[in-house]
Amino acid sequence: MISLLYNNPSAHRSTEKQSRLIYHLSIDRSFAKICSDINKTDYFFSVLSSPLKEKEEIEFRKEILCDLNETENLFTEFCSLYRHFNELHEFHKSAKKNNYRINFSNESSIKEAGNNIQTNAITLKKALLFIKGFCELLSKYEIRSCGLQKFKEECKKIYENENFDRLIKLCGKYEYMSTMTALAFRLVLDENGRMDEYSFIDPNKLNLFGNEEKQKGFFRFKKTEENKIKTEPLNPIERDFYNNAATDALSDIAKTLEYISNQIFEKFSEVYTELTFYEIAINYIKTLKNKSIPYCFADISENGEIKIKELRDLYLLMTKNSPFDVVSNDLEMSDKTKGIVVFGNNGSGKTVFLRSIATMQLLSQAGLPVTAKEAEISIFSDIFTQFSEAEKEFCEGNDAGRFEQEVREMADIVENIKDGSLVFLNETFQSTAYAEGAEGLYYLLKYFSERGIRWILVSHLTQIKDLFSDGEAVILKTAPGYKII
Amino acid sequence: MKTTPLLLKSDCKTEIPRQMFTDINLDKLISEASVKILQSPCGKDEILLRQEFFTVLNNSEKYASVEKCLKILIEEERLFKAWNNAETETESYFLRKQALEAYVRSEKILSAMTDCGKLFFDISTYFSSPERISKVFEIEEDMKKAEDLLRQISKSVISFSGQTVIAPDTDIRSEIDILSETAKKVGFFLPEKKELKPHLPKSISNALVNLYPSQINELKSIFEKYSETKFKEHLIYIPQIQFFLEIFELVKKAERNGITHCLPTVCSERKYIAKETYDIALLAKNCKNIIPNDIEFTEQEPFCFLIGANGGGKTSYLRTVAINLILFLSGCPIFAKEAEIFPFEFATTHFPKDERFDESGRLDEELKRAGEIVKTAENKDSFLFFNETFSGTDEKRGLDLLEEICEKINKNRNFGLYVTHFHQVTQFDFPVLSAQIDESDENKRTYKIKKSKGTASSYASDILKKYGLDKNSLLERIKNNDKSTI
Repeated sequence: MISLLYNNPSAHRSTEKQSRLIYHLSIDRSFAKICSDINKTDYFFSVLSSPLKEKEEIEFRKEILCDLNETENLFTEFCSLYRHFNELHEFHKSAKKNNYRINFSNESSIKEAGNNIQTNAITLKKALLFIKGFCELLSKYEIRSCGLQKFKEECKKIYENENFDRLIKLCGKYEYMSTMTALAFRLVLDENGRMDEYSFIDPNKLNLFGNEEKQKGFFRFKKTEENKIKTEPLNPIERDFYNNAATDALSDIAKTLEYISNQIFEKFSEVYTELTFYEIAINYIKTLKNKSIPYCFADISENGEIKIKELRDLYLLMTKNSPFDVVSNDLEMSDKTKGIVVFGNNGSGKTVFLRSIATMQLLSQAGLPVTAKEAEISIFSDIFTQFSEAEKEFCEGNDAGRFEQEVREMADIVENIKDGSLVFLNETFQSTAYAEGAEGLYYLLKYFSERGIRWILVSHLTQIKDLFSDGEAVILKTAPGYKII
Repeated sequence: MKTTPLLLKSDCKTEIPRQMFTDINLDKLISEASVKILQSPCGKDEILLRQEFFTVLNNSEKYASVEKCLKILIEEERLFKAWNNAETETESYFLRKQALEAYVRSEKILSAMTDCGKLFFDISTYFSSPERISKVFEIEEDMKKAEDLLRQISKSVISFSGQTVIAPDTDIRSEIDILSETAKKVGFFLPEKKELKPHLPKSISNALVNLYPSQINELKSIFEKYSETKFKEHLIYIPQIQFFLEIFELVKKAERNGITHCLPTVCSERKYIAKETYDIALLAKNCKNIIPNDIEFTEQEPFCFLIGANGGGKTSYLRTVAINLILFLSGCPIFAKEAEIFPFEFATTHFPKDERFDESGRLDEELKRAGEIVKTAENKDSFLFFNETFSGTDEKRGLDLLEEICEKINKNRNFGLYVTHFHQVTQFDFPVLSAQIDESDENKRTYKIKKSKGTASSYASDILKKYGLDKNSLLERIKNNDKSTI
């Protein structure tokens, strides 16, 4: 399978969609302003929810996005071609369903099998020509990304094969094949005298009654008994057998054509869906540009440091008219920092700060630009969020108390989290006695740190401060004007 | 004319009843075909020959030869049946050639089994006669010719253009081959061709016969020469070899479970003595650590009662004695460290039947069966097994009937083992075996059977306790129930 989202698609395993992550960070609300098609944004969020774990993968996606975004007409033409390719794929899928409906006991089954050959030959021919089309389109532009180069090379490998034209010619022949005039089959018996092969041969190549090409001049008037092959008439009493065998033989060709087409679609069709991601990504960049929002692609730090300059919260940016209405903050997290706790009054910008960092991390690990002036990030094996949710979230079908629910969510995170992950916690364990919540949370954070899982916590549980020993956490607090210091 | 020698011979006059195999669970371990063979005790001479053959099978190379021989014979049987069921004339020629080739393979392997014991030596001598060898060569030569002729008729083309005709093959490639080859060259993968192999319809078969008259006539004349070939002469060996291999596999299976086996000494005085003997039927229940027991029945003490605790291994012991006896009587190894056994002529069992009878009905049925058994065993060297016979009546009557039948068995000088809960048998003038328990370890069952008068208890409370139905458990339940009610 060719992918424009993953350099190594086989290594990428899609994880269960973490819809809570998108929800907690209000990414759904942010991108609703960029794309109104829910199906498309759903796909986009599913990609975002599985952060890339390799620098090369992030670069791979970033380069493709730049090519598609910056090369005029490339994305439009590529999408248009792919739309037609997808239509062919859809047609092929529906034709496949019809193929299964052949009634083999029916005499018209031969004709149906012949029709299937024609249909499948046309589909295969078109699919092959699309490969040629992709290759020609990408050759027209100056492509820099290795992802699109790789895509072009894959097409070229097929298109420039010396048998490519021959395969298209064969499809052309089957496209006009008729089962109405003449049919011929080779019959081979096995060692038990049973039918080992009953395969279709081109009736035009079979000349059982003398070779006419040789019958020129004088020989035209001479009976060519010596050229005549001995034949024996067949009594067609077993008509069902002949119909079935012929239908089988013709269906073998139809199925082979279909099998080849399937391989083309399996290889190339996923890209059509993947283009949705790039469509939204391009619109995202356009929106940032139109709103004059400063943005950049984050650099990948090799030593585990995180350094962000003038980071603004995406959701606020999408809701405000000017980017300058949104306060920016900086963040520095050295490789030694195991976790950060942010304290501050209500409404002082703690959660917005947390959200902006988490959103930035998620977008960066999806190969997308972020709303900061400068950014250097570290790659995490996964990203988790636990946000204290409104009481209403706990009403329907949930018999657990709020604290228990939080504990359950944390237990779920602990069950699934991998070393090297990043966890964002927003007012976790505040639904119980604070001292107890703080103590419970402290040991949980300590557990994360022991496993090399880094965390950022926004909290009112000030008691936790006394529990940390040196180097266990960096304490930040809010300052007037939504600043974090 | 010499008759075909057999691997299994028996002049048994009274078969062991099929029911006995069910009673002792032997039919859970071996196939019905082998049960059938084991039903016929074969006599001293045959026992020795079969024992020799089992010894031969211990040699892995010889075992492989026997296994190969069986495979060849089974393949011959398959092809012989396929030829008999051929649907068309052409199919019949192809299959006849295959069957004759298989016949040749069988002849060759049977004649080569010279070093697989006396039983096979007689067979190989029979199949090594000069007439048979020259016939084998002749068939081989003719089958080469047949193969060439069949190759000529095996490929053809069928054309549906105006009229439907069949013609000899041409060098035109099939479209599927052309397409597949081209697609593969471009880099696509294609699935393997599906195997259909349907029968040829009669119309094509008839047309092929007409299309190739000279080849067909030649085939006919070749096969005509072998119309009298006796395929069945080989095929009789299949179940016989299968029996030996099946028993041998059972022995190996037991060996893997740590169970020893031996070939008992066939003695001329009437006795059944075996050391460390196993109930192999427990293998069918996947039991581990099967406890072996000794067996001793002699002319002086041919009959024993077996009493003891429930779940102490009484029935298992009966099976131990019975199964190993049956195996011995057909020349098979038995599951014991060592043994000396007299080749009894007859053996049978009397087990309670599963069906529900009312009190008198059940007793009548048991009496009838017991009477028949004693009558059949009369004037024969017989070994009889009784399991809880006459337990379907009151104790006094049951005991009277038991005594009565024992006297008859004694009078007939039959050997026997009688498992019973009537502890009064200890007062009779017969030896008594009992299932041993370890009283110092909460009446733990040892599964050891020893000659002793035992104690007059079946330790039923242990079983009840296990299922929470003993006195204390029931009182506890009542107490708990009271508490919950209050």
